[in-house]
Amino acid sequence: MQAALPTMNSPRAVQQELERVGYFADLGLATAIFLSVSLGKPLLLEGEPGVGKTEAAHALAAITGRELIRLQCYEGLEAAQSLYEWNYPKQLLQMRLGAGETAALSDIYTHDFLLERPLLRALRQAEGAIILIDEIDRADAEFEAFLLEFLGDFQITIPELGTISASVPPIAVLTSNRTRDLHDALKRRCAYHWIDMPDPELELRIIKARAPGLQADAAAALVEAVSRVRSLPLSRQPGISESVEWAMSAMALERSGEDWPTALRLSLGLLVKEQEDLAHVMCEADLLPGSMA
Amino acid sequence: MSMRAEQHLNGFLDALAHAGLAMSPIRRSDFLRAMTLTDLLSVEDLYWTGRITTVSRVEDIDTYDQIFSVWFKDGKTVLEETVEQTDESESDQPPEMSTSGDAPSVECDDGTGQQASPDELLTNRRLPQTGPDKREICRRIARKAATVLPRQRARRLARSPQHGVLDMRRVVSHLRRSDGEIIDLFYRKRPLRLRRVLMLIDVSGSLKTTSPDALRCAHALMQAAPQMEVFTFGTRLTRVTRTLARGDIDDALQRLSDVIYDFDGGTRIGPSFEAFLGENRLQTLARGALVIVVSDGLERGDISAMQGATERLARLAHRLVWLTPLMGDPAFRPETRGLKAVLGAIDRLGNAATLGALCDEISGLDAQVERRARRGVASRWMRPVPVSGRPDDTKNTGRVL
Repeated sequence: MQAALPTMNSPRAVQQELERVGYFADLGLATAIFLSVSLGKPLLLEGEPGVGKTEAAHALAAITGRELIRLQCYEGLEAAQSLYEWNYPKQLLQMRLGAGETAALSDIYTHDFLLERPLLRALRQAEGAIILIDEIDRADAEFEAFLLEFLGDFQITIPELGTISASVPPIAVLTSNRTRDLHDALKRRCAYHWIDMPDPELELRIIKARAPGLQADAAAALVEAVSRVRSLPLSRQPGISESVEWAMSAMALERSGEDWPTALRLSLGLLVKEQEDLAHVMCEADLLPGSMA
Repeated sequence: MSMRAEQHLNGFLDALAHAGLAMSPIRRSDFLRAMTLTDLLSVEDLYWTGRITTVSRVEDIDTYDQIFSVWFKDGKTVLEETVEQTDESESDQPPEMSTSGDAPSVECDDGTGQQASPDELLTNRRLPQTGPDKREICRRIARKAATVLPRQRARRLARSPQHGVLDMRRVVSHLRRSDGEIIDLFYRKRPLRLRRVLMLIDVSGSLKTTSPDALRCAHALMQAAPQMEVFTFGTRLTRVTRTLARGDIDDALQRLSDVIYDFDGGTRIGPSFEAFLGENRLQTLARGALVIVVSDGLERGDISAMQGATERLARLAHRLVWLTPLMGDPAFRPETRGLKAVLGAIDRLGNAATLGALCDEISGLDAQVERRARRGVASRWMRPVPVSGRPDDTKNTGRVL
């Protein structure tokens, strides 16, 4: 069973809808979202940190009107934290209250005693949900295997309770920073898209939208500076979120009285977050825009 | 979809499969279904639709681009035929493996010779057989390693007979048998497991006699440490974990000569380390691991890259151990710029002159390698030595280095 997005029947329509909520996607990402929903496959977004993978899921939730349920992955994540857990204190109390009578299975293993974690909540959502499984590369191989089962049928079996399946299958979005190779089995099940750093025109539009009040020529100079910074051999490339933060913090400093070039220089730490990289960028004197306001 | 267009698309999929992309029947049917679902208004749409359904690794994107440009160079003709009819029923079944349409021929240009680097001399080398005494030392290394390699707590909880965190689920399910009376308690705790070991072995010309022994030591350690990665570097970085993961040491060593191309070449430690740290996935291998570098530190040219990369490696690693064959000489002092530069970052500077020396270093890992000894390594080698040569002459001292 596939989810349907009634208002979007082509990748370009998806692109326009995303733009309406303030997320600027290129045609590739819009096609990926469209295909993942139409084919009924989870969407796996990979890319460098800061290119907008998590924001894509938020934007998708905004345009579909579905609730976004987020599961942050980490090493050692288990079913108890991601799927469900029994409410043990409540169960103990119930058993004490009913002491003397044989506690039947149905007494303490019911929905009242079930603590729903993100994945189960996504299944039970009546209007359908978007489940964001963030940074799946931080989880370990056991969790991936468990997730594969979940993403296959969107149904789980709780031993004491039975099988719970989704009335409306959720749309699953997985993100990865590629610090680890994911299992082929998981990748095969998903529609895969690698998000590159945006090209300058797209980045200019994003900065203009996220940092209103920044003048056009200052924004253009900022974007050019960021592309020059990215061409340097840094240990960590700044992403879009970093360039937006740089613009906004420089504007905040300018409002408090600094002139524009100084504001840019002082807030450089929001663009480049490693000490050696910062030193490298500071050496390149002509990198930062001159007096523009 | 017309027959010709479908044949062309199937041919495209076959070409992708031939180039190494995994093309299961499900993927093929997804590709064809996607073609019917999207309005292919331009070549770009075709490109993205194809890429999202067929490519699942970043490394395959370039291959896909090449094959796409060959098959859809004149995109318009194919596009018109594909968009003509959208027949839903056809697309649900996986296509038969029919003979593909004529593949446009791929023309190869003559090479321009620009790829060849003047600096690299790519050589293969036959490594000598391992004698019985060396095999014995390797066995000793494997035995010792299991006890001395550093450990860390796993993140997952596992059943534990006695102490740890209460396993509530098991407790509650047992309680049903006793009507709510708590009789047995069950526990879970995080077990200790061996940390990952990462070995970086210098195979350049200056370590000609030592690199085979270092590789033997790596092979022995692999038997003991479940998660071990071995890389060699000289003028380039090569991952040899798979090749070394064979049972017999000589078999593994023979296969190494097929994989390592910069044996006995020049030394470029800085660029090799930077290549290692540049990739996210390789960087994760070093995080929290025991990193052993076997190299003499004789770097050609500028050492700032080597120093920076070693410091980064030290910050990522649990412990960083540097073993150099030059320490076989008792009068050794780290005098090269390279070694002096990295002294402040490493946890131990040890001896890699012979296989026996490597064995002793491994055995002494837990005793001698402590993080707070980091400053001790540098200060130990920089200790002032009395000028007159008598150790008790504290007045006339001069710095050694």
